[in-house]
Amino acid sequence: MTPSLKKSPKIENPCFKLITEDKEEVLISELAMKHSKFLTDLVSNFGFSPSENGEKNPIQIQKVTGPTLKLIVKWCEHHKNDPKIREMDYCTITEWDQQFLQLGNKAMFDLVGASNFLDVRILFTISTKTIATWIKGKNPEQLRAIFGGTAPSEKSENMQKRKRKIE
Amino acid sequence: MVLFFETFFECSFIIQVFLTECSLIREKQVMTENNEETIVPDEQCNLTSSTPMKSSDLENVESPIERKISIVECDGEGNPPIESSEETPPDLTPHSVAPRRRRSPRRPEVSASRLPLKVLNQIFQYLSLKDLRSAMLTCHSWNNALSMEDSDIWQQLLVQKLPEAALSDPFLFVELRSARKKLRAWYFAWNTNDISRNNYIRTNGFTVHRQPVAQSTDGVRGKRGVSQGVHAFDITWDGPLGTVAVVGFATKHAALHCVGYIALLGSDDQSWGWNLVDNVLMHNGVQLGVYPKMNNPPKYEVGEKIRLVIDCDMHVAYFERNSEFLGIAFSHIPPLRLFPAVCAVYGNTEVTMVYVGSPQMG
Repeated sequence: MTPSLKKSPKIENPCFKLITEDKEEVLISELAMKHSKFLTDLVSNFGFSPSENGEKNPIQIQKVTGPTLKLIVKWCEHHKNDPKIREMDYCTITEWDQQFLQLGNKAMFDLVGASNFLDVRILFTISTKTIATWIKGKNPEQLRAIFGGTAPSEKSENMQKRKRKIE
Repeated sequence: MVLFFETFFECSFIIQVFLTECSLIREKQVMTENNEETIVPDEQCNLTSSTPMKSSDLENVESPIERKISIVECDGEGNPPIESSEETPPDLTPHSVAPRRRRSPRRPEVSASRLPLKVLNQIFQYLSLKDLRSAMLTCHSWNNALSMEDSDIWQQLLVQKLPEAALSDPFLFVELRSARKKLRAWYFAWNTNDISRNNYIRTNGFTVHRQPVAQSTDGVRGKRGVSQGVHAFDITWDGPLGTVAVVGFATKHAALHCVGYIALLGSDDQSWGWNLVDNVLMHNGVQLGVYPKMNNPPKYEVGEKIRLVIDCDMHVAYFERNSEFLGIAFSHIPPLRLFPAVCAVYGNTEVTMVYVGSPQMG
């Protein structure tokens, strides 16, 4: 009866239930969950096993909100059959991913934060790359319009030069 | 001029987002030399902070050098950024993925400034130097993330830009301890395009080598000149001096080559030089006296480190030898853009120059 991730479960809808802070519940299948190192480690450390509709052992997730978690799970489910799950240089962004990443600002930032937290490496890489494209070629004013933030208001000679030298 | 105002006026930026199918590989962009004066605002800000930066892993944190870095809330007023899903502001022409426009500067709808450090580092890794500059000017927390001297971002750019030989040389960057400073030194090194045809720059990018050509004096200038602030350049003459070996600075227009063996640097009003062979200062063809001002100043020994300091604000320049201040060499320097320069006559002699930034006072 030792729970193990490698055993193929004979239950109907084997998955885990994730509960976020705002009380939303999301189901994620075992295979899809492999994308998230955080969850994989958690499950193996606690010795959970997938159960029908995730009724047993629901997992509490701090720091991630419901909608974001749903997005992440959606991505993981889509990619659950990918061969190399933790590949570092995931260079090609597929069409589906592109479509998936067409999010608003806030959603994108939440996604990046959450994928960092849950350690979904590939998603983290492609979403940060996407944000990098938003930054490319813009001046600070435009960047502030997109990303928020206030301008530094003080100037000092030293720092000016420093900045200029870095150019 | 990049000016910063506290209140922004509403404009309509149409910001295009490119999502390319092919890989967003880190581009090796050639930095276009930008010699115009851009006054940029301070990185160092004194706004008080309340919330520290959120970060899951602070693996890239290095304590910043002596500057005061304060971690601030993005919104200067102290209002936490509004994170709720606010409605789209009026009069927009949204692109399909247009980020929501800010209605007023005080309440950004979205705030990426509070992303954790690890995330920011990952994002900035994909940017070129120019974009990093824009990012640094955007808001405080980005600024702080990028001012970490040794973070991966700078390391990676360093490896991209600097030649292998420079990185593996243990003595070249003795004074510069951070990746960012080394990168900066690279941008101030000898200029391969601004050099006499009898000289060439060695593979490490920082050492110029004079070929043994008879009856010719040859010089070289640095890539970037300075016209504001105080700047120090560490110059080491690695080869034999010969009869004439001049260290100094020049404007863009000074000659870098001439026939015969003369002190080219200092021969006209476009350059200022200190001849290491007879310890004489030269400018405008005139010998300005022995330097340092003492009886029998010591001869330069090959391999000694000379620091040329140009103070553009006080309009003076001076030299230090092995950390010993030698006295003011030149005063009343015109407010022009001045480049570090040397000129040599000895065949196969070499001179290394490393930019070290602002000298530590006192």
